[in-house]
Amino acid sequence: MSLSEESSEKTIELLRELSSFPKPRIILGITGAPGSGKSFLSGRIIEYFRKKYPDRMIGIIAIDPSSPFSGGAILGDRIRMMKHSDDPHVFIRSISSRGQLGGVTLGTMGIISVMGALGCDVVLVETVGVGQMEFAIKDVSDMVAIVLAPGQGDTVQFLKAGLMEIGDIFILNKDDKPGSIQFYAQLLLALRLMGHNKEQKELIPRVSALLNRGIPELFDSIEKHFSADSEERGFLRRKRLELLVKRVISFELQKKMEMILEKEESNFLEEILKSKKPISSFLSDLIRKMQ
Amino acid sequence: MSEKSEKKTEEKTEARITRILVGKVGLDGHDRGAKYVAHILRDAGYEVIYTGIRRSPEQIVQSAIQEDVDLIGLSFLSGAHLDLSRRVLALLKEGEALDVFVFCGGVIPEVDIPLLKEIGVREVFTPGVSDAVILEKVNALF
Repeated sequence: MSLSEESSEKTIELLRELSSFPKPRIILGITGAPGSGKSFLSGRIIEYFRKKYPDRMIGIIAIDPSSPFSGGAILGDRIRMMKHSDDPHVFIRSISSRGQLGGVTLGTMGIISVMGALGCDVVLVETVGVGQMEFAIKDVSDMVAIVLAPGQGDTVQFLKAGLMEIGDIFILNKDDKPGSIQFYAQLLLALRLMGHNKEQKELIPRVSALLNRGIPELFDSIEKHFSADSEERGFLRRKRLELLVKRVISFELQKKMEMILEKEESNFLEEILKSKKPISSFLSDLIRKMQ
Repeated sequence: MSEKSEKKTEEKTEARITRILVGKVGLDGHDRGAKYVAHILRDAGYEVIYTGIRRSPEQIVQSAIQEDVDLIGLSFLSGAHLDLSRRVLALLKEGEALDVFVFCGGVIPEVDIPLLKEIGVREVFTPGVSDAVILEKVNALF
């Protein structure tokens, strides 16, 4: 798994070698505002999974942001799942965003393959929905669950930021709190307006991670969704991988181009600004230099 | 942001980042010191997997192996350092993970430092040691 984080080259090598190994049955992305209780909810899902399938393995990838200044990070998601830390059927891997969004998602795919090869039946990919990490989750997961909780004033704002589009289901956590039913009604209306057509119980599962309510129904309903159409799922996974590889290739090309531009003579900028030639002719020159 | 830390970020995003697990084994009541050390390590560019208080040696070692960390930092307050460090190191050996270094910090009597080093602990940090010294010693391990 560490290899997968090192470089895109290594990840692709890894993906090649693991291509004939088993893959996880379900890859579930979980994201939500800080304070929505999603890490705790993930812990409950793990608990239920372990009870339901005592012989199967489950993997969790917890993504936390890196400091843009030092490059370091505190990866603290695992702390909410520590009771599973000595359960050999639970594999928890914490990773940081390391400032490279393209790199993260390919690396995460690599880690998911390793988890599949190890025998993980289900993989949860969890991250806080800040910056653009929640979009990265969409690129690697079969299904994306957005965790929300009532009483957070900025939840509605949060939803406006595009999450309504990437979410497949919207888990209403902390259902035990006051204001929950009103929030549910508002959310349902907003999602219907956006075109989400699933049946409401499936679209907005109501749970309380604290009181451990609604978790079995949540998981069972997700599983039911996955029992059909495994061919389509395989197809979608391949499409996602293709997209990621394309992104990695353009990222690497961009890096190469930046290096070339660094080496250009200092009047390069002046030339471009003063010239009457279209930019495309400069581009052709630069592409030639790349070779 | 200084030039030096800019360069470090560049290097780190290219190369392998060093991962450190920081946690407290045993029954200590609070983790202020451990949290502080976690932060200074993060600011120095390390990835810190913070595992909190009241962990068992088994939990610490399984986490360290899954996360493929390079270093484990154990924090102790109430005197269990020798016993628990020994258990952690034994589990690392069992898990064939002796390439992971271990350091300890917290309320540890001077006389126990050589004993800890004998069982395989690389560094011991007692109260009053400065950030600079901690970072120096940790950096020196890699």
